[in-house]
Amino acid sequence: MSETKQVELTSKDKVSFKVDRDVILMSGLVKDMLEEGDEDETPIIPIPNVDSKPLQKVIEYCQYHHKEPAQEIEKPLKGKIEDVICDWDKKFLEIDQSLLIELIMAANYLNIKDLLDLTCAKVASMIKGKSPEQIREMFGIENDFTPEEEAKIREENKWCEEA
Amino acid sequence: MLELPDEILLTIFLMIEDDDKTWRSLMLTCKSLKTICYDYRYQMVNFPKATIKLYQGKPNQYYISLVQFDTNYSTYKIPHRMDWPHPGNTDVITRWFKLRVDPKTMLIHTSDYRFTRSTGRCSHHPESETQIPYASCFGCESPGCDDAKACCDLTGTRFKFNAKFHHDGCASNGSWKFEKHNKKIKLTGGGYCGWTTPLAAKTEIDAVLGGWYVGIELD
Repeated sequence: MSETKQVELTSKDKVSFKVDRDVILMSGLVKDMLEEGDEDETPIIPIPNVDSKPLQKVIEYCQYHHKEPAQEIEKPLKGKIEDVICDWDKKFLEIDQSLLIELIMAANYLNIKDLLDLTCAKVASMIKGKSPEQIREMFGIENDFTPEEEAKIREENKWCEEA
Repeated sequence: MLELPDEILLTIFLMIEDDDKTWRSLMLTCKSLKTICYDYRYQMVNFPKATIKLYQGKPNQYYISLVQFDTNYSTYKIPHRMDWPHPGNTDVITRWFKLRVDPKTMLIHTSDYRFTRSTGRCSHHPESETQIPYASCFGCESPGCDDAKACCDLTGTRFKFNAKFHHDGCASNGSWKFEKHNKKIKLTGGGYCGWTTPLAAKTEIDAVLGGWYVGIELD
């Protein structure tokens, strides 16, 4: 019986994770790196842009969806994200906002399209239907418009307010 | 959220790109989000003799932003006669804020209702009870009575109309008056029932459902 080949990923904060090679091939970045390396070794792949916490979540995602391929999320979103994703993904996304943002960055850097789509859809769903004030509060964004600039945008999009 | 690269933010926003109210909120949140939204929404589009900035509703789907909101409407005028068989019906008025345009054919789609607001209900045509196509008006008061009105106004845009109209239906009557060097059209229509629509709407169902029917040209 042949042993499962593994890969060692090292996060930005120097934490190492051993992952099955087949699982982490979901990452386009890792796949490209492995294709350039030696097949017989257990390669150590530095992931210098991703901290251990989001990297652990990425691995968790890949381990599950390696066996259960993710369903494509229809765009634009129809209704709430909870209506279009599986129960496992719903549970997976029960994370705080800062980790969600880190996860988006990690999915983008590691080139995992399905995870990027899922996490972006989560943020889109959070924003949907919110007022400018609510979006600012949700993400700690400062209003840097002058009253005149704000009035101009409101005027240009006046149709939205018309009953 | 602002720590995300612009291209990822745009990916997120495109997931709700048909939600124009939320996009408005995003534009009003802060300058950097406004820039991302504007760069996507306002595109320079090539026309035969000019390049003009249009609103992008979806990739390669463009809209003319109207300036005169009070003079872009279409209607179904509910008759006052006693035997009208649909109790509770009220005049249907559709107000237009942006018009879908095909830059290649220079035609406007008269039933792209994304940037419209409508009030009222008329059960005469079950295919479309609550919205009336652009540049169209319907009435059913009595033979020859053109009591329904519509108005089209491209004032403040780079375009003017290049369109023909007709009235049709049962004992129909109607008129279309071009003003301001073809930038504005005032229409009347009606009958028993009758309507005034772009000439390209050849049948009653065409009139009700609308289509790529109104020609425009550069001013």
